[in-house]
Amino acid sequence: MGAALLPNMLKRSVVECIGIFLFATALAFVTNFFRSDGLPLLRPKLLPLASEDNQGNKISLQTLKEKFEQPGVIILDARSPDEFAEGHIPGAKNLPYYEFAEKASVVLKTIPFDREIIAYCEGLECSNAEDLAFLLKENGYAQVKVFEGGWEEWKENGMPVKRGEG
Amino acid sequence: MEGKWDARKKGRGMIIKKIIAHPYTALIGRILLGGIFIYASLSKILNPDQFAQAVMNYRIVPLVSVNLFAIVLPWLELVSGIFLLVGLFSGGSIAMITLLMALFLGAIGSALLRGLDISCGCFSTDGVYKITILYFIRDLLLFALALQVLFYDRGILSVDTFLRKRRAVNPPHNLFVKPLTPP
Repeated sequence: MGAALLPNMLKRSVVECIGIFLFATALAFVTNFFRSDGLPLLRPKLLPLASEDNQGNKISLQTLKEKFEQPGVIILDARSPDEFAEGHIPGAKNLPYYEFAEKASVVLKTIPFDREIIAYCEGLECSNAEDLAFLLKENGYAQVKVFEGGWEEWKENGMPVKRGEG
Repeated sequence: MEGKWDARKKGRGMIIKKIIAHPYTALIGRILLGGIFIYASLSKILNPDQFAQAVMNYRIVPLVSVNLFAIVLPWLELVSGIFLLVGLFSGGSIAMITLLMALFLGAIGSALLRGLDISCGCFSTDGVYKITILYFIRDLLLFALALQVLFYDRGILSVDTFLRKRRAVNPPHNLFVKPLTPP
């Protein structure tokens, strides 16, 4: 009896499983359609990923020195708000990589997509700036660069420092 | 002496086996897994953009289809969680939950192997909790629990059993068959 029952139960489970999938998918799309903060079904066409053209994306301290006085260039600090408050590159805005989802809309609201953005984090060891650059590209920013040396190199070279929430 | 010791050891093994295969263990598993899946789905359903971000961070799903995945997955968790909890379509819902647990294990495992420094996105989408080996172990335990339910659930306190019993008492009428009329 058990041997004959097993294929039936298996078949029934598979059918139920497919049913659950279809039901949940239908619910998901209907709710997503009607809610105000629903997501677009497909992400818009993407720009090349940061990881693919990393080399061209990285800038040195020398380049940053030239750029950081220019008015159009945006500098983003990918570290935590606490680290940012302890000291950052003057004029930089704080957009912590780990709080991207919450803070991106506020910080990026005023930054046009064609603006040149330079991201940095603690130093050579950290990857948050690169990851932030990746997310920025995902979100449509065309010119995102990473200052590899990060905060450590900036500070060690006696560059100007600003403290506070900025 | 040796034989006695072996017998005692064997006896203990039998008890553990009995506990693992016991239908009440499966009942506890159903309640736990169902509750966990429902709870986990809620914050994802409430914050779809944050969950999409968490999915994207894993860099497994092709970026174009990240949103599709992020839209469907929480509802899949919610629906199969509710069905498992109340015991409706138990076979299908536990199969789905086992598949999902396998998927989560794979995702977390690969993220750890690749050394990704990301948030789990498992329960809370707020991005504070960074992924560690503990998440993998937790999911491994849940996966084992899902397998237990998959194999040993006997439908105690389930809607399935309730319906089956009722059907046995009042067999459904077949509307498409003419009732026999006396000649």
